[in-house]
Amino acid sequence: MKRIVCLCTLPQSFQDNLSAYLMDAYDDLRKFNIEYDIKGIFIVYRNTVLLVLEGEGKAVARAAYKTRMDTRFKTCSIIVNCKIETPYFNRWSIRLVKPDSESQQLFLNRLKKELEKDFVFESPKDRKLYEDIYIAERNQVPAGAPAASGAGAPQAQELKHSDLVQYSVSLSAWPKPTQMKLTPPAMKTCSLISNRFVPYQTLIDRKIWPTEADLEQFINLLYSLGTLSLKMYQQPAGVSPAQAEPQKTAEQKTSEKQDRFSQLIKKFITSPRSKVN
Amino acid sequence: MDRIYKKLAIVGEVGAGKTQLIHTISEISPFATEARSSVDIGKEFTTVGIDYGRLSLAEDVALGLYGLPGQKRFSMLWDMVTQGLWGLLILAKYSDNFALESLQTVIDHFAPHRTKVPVVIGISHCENTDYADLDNFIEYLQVVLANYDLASPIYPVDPRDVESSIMVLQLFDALNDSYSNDDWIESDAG
Ligand SMILES: Nc1nc2c(ncn2[C@@H]2O[C@H](COP(=O)(O)OP(=O)(O)O)[C@@H](O)[C@H]2O)c(=O)[nH]1
Ligand SMILES: [Mg+2]
Repeated sequence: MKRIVCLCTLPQSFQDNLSAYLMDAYDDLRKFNIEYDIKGIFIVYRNTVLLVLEGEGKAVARAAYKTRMDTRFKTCSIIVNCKIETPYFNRWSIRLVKPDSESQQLFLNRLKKELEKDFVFESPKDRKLYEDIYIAERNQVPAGAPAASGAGAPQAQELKHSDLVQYSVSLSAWPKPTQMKLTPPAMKTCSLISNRFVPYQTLIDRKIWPTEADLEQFINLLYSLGTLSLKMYQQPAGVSPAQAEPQKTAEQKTSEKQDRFSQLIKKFITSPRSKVN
Repeated sequence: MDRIYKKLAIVGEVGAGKTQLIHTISEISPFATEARSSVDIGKEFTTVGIDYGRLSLAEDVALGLYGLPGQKRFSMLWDMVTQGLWGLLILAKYSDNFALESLQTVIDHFAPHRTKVPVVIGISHCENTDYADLDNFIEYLQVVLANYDLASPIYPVDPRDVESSIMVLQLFDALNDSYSNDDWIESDAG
């Protein structure tokens, strides 16, 4: 068995937006790896992709070759090429590095330990790129917010009520079903803050949760999953077209009709029904 | 004729569970409508390859359910339901050879990142999938959505199950509320 680790870079600066062709590159490899029973991981951090491939020697070499030839990547260096007794991975998967995620930091640190002994960095640049993946800090949190101090060793950070009310919050991905149960208040909260900043105070005012402590706990849970962004809440200065304002379609504006529909569907959803039907 | 008529588009590949879901939801309509109107509307669509059903909520209020094949060559059918769209459910059948291009085509076409129509991705046929595999599949779909600046809910759905099907409606209701209730907008300078 063999393990090859590739460190690839993408041609342009995409910031937090991933290009569609990065996805295609992953997908091509996904199909190939299913066919040849290759396990491992495709880790994306900004412009860097760290690829761990494990499996039968020839197959892994082919996958690595395929990746090096892949014009979707600007550069591709092999930083580990070794024999292994037992594979570290038991599936082929993808991970986006979310700097705020505690469980992910743990996962990354464990992976680092596993790979470290076999490194061959041909250039200091590669080493730097590689290290950057691991020291991704809580950089979404604005200055002044409680942030993890030492790199690579995140501490459980509680967002307190007194901090939270100063912020607007936004969600980049809903929690996975394995991470938490989707209750109606969780659904409502996530819907509100999906990809747009909403002042924490607004969430309180909505009274979605039985108590403010419940809301606080839920927001902290999202925060610990690494999918919540915070930014300082700014008092509106005069007439300010809110950035977060969703565009509304024509029928969403006809609110009377909307209300009746909305009421009826809510009644339907919450009404008990006989299982026999 | 319905006074309020909204549409739920259900797009997915063959076998994803579109027909099943439409059946499950139609069956539990709390309000029995005169057969005539619904049958007539249904016929018109089924002849062109659209599955049709409805959730009647009152005599004059209904949610139309439209099952649409997921391949690009059917995209002219998708255009038939874009008016009055309450939600877009993309049913993705859990499998190793999941068709990424198809998902991208659907999103490109409906452009929810621009129109703001609520989107839910339902993963069907996954009741026996192990948690880690499901997790990975969801992470993968999240990356695809991130390409479009979408943070839509991605959850397992069993179209054969009433509660699971209702959960889908509940998600769309929550998403629709979050856009229609804009009392918070004034208070955020963004
Ligand atoms: N086990 C299982 N079967 C399902 C699921 N969803 C749909 N089915 C079944 O799969 C078959 C195909 O579903 P159908 O609704 O006809 O798919 P369509 O082609 O999208 O309309 C039917 O027998 C369904 O009952 C699911 O989540 N799990
Ligand atoms: Mg069908």
